[in-house]
Amino acid sequence: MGHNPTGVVLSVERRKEIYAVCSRYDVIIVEDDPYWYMQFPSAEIEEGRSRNLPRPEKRQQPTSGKQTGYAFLDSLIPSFISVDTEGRVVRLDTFSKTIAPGCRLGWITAQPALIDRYLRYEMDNLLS
Amino acid sequence: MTSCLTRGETQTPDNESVGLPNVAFFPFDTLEAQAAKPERWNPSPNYPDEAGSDLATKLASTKLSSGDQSAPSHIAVPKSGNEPDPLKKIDLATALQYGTAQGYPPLLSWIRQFTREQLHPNAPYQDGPEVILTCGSTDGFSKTLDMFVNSWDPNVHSERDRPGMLCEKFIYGNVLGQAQPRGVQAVVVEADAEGMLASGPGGLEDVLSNWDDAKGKRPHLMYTVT
Repeated sequence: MGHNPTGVVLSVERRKEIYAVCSRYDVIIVEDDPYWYMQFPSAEIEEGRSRNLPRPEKRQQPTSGKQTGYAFLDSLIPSFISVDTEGRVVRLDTFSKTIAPGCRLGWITAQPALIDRYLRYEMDNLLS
Repeated sequence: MTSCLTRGETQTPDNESVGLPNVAFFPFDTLEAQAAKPERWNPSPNYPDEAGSDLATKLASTKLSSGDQSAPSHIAVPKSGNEPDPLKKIDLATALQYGTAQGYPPLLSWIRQFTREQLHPNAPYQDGPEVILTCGSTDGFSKTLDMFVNSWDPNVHSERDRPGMLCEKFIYGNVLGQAQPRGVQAVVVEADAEGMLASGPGGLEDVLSNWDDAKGKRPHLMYTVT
């Protein structure tokens, strides 16, 4: 999670506010998140140290819902998918930043009915 | 996994309608590679001043093998394997053959499991999130535009029908290049240090509630790099 080009990470609270507005006006949210794994609690601690700021609060592990059991994964700010109670989020993922850009491989995540539509589109465009 | 298999079998008539070439004519006998082992790179601990307190630190200090950590492992994909489960069967007889529109079953299966169990264990969908493979996020966004936007041409369509796409003021430029040929206008939402503004002047609520229909259709699509 990191905005390109500003590097901002959208907080969970802000995500919920934006989602509520999108719900009122029927807006589909396309979440392009190639840098989801680039969140470093250690960097926040080092930043505080170099700027003479107090040690930042430790990221809260989710207290409700399922956990993956991996401390790093569970410390990440969750995707718009996690608040998508109306099925209006389309998330784009890629292997370009994690394995190699030349893979030209990625995937879309969404609610099942939407993915079914994407599949039908794919069947018309890519009969393999 | 059953759902994706079922869909693949019921929705792809191509296996019946297309002649499958004989495997013996595929001009590759094996695919082999030297691949990095996970332990080539050590994960940095989340909280370095609490060494030993979290899983990442424990992982970092765990040696899975006593040998050279930079040594790769050898991967060999055979021409034909014996695995009966198509979600696990990785061989050239299937990889080089006509398949389904969903893509290579073992790859789709792995990505689907990773997405459901590791990335979004708390997705609110009744049966969990689904996935579809793309040729990268640019391809994924192109398909998304095709899915949600009616292409608009100033010489044919009325200004009021022009589709819009909500985005932040600073945006990944490729996306604009993909939207413009379809006639989609970018509609800017203001942002602060925490990202896109939901409320306040220039924020999302402001843009949508004060929308002027003469400028085009009120946008129903938002693009955001979170």
